[in-house]
Amino acid sequence: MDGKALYQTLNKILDTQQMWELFFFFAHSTLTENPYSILVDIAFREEIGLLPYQSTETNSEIYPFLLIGTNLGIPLETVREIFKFAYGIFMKIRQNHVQNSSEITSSIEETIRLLKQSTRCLMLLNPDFHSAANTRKKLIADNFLDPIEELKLLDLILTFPKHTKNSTVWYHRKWVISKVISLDHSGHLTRWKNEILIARRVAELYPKNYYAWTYRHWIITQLSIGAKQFLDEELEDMKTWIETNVSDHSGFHHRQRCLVKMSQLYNENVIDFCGISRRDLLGMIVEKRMETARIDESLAFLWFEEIQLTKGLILRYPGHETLWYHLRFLSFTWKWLNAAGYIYHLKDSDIEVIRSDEEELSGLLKAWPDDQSEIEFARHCMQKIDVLQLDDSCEVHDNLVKQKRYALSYELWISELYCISNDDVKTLISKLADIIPESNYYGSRKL
Amino acid sequence: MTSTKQLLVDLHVKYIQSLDTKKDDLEYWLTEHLRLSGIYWGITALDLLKNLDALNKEDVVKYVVSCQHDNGGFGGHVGHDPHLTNTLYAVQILLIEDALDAVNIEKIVEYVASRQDRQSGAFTGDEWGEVDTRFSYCALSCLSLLKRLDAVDVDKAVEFIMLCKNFDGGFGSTPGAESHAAQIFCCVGALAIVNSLHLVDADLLGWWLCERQLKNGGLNGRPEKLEDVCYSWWVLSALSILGKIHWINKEKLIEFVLAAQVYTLWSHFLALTRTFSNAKSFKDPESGGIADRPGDMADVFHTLFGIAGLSLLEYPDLKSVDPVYCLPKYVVQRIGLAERYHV
Repeated sequence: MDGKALYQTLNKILDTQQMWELFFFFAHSTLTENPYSILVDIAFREEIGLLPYQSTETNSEIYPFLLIGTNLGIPLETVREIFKFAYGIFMKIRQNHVQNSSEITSSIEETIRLLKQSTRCLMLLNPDFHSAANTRKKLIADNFLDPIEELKLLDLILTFPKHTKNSTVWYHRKWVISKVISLDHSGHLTRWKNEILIARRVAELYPKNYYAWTYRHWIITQLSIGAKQFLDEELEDMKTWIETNVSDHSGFHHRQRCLVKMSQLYNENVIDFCGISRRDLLGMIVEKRMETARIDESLAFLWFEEIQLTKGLILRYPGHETLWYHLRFLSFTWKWLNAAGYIYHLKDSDIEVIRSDEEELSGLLKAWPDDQSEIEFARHCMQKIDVLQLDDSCEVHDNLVKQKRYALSYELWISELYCISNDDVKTLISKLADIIPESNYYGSRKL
Repeated sequence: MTSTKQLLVDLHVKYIQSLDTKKDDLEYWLTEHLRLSGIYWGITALDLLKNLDALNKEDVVKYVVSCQHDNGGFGGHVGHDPHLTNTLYAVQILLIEDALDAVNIEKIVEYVASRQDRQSGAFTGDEWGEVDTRFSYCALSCLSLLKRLDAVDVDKAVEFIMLCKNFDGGFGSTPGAESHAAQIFCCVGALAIVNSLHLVDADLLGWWLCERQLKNGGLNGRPEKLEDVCYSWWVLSALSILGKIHWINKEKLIEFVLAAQVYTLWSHFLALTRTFSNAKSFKDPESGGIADRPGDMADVFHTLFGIAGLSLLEYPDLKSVDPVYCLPKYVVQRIGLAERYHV
């Protein structure tokens, strides 16, 4: 089939059917003869998530495309032809527009229709094509295209893993949803909730997707002060997420943004922590407490519980850099909230401790966070491994070595955060240089 | 495929030359919007490999000029919408070819300046408003190369970048976004350009960047992500700008980048045998170039950042690369710009 026929069939399907998922497939017969090329082909196809699929009914109205339930399948071998054809139409209209020529004698309506169809195909096959996305924004701005329909197209595009990994499609979504929200004065929360679901689904499809998570933070920043319930649900959702995705730093980072936002709902004077790093915090200690701060029990509970939760995860899943980085963030925020005067020492009886099977751990987790408690925790994790290392079961071994390294660097982090004596820091760096000989960082700092 | 301990210069040169001849490939069409950036990646790699002549200067300059719009910005390909990133690529290519006079510079300055949101200091990629610290870098790098930083509010630009700093000393794409090594390169590079490196929490950020090196020598861009050759550039350049490149284990990283080279024994043999250099076999798309990691397919993006990383690591027989501008150093010196990366 030629590009034109394929293009028309695809547009017909898009116009008449309701589809929820997109996939690309290839027939085995299209593999080339060269054995090396076959290997590369297979690797490439796996990487972009192509499915092998044998036959399509040639007498079907939608041939060679596939509709399986609500899934739309596009054969790989048609992509180039459709793309070239759609591209040709799109570029021709643009050129005529630039030259202000009347070569296209058709009406404005016809031009709009051609633009809508061609950019839709271009976006579906290559959502990173930013001129196509821009044209569609212009069509929406001029009321030629319904932004709600555009969201549906984006829903479809974002079901193909490879398509979720570029910023153009995410910014397009951000622009479109902002437009929808600005037109619709009720039901914002439902719309935002749906955006959360999309970002969540993409994170499942393509783990640690930077754009999907950044999009999800952005949704949180759009919430008004009254959105506490929304944020409660998001925090709850993220709790489940981090407990089941302990190496997903992006997920943890999102939870951090939610915790900060929640703190601001509790107390509007809490800062958003944007632009603040360790050096700024160290500089702050000598200054006076912030005048706007007031002691807030709910803040103390929120962050203390998070610290306990994280330590519990670290003990349960040894050797995850993400968990230790999260603990670094929590110790940092905790120190800031303390220094700014938001937190006072709760009575032991007020502290709810996450249940632990081991008696000794309860004490460890219950300890009120300060430099001593954190160093004790790190050392506990290291000691535990020193004992276990005698047992040389291999797979676990690797994680335990990592756990030791992360625990030791956490102790270094705390020591520098709390300005503990230089000698102690030097000893720690020597220890780290010994256990991570391949790292030049500790080696250089040791000297 | 076997592993190699050498940089396969000839093979990579052939690979880059072959990129524009594959109009039958699907990849060619799906990456058309990236054509201008592809030329920047290719030509910079060729220059670092001491093979700038491998692409015809006249053709390159003519093509770049054809991507400029009336408003001064450049599109990713002829007829594509203008964008700040492509505008920087165009300026970089023209500087390498020493052909800046082929375009209207004043128009470029006007375009870049119009991308700044004067209230927040941030830059938008194009008129549709996407904000990202990548664009802050593109704008400041571009104007600095054109010596027209006066056209924007530099203090405000710095203010926005600093809002994107996180507790770990790293930077994200927008305020509150996760630290990411590529964004860190953009922010540290941009701050270096406007003499604001003192604002970076250098010791802490340096530590975070070093923690990106994995056991196999490769670098990742975020915690618990896979290693990738392009971070040999993003992480290393940032460390280099901060004067802390010695914190990375160079030997292990060089080994990793070299292992990500793509070649078949046959094409390697052909490349070494110059007699065959025009043989049809060179069209074999699977030979030459560097992949994201060993065993994957090559692309020109990873080819540049692998080679540029090796240049920062002082791998023999490569031209030196400038860590701030990602241009060969001699190009930056030729236009009389001072080195910006000595803290």
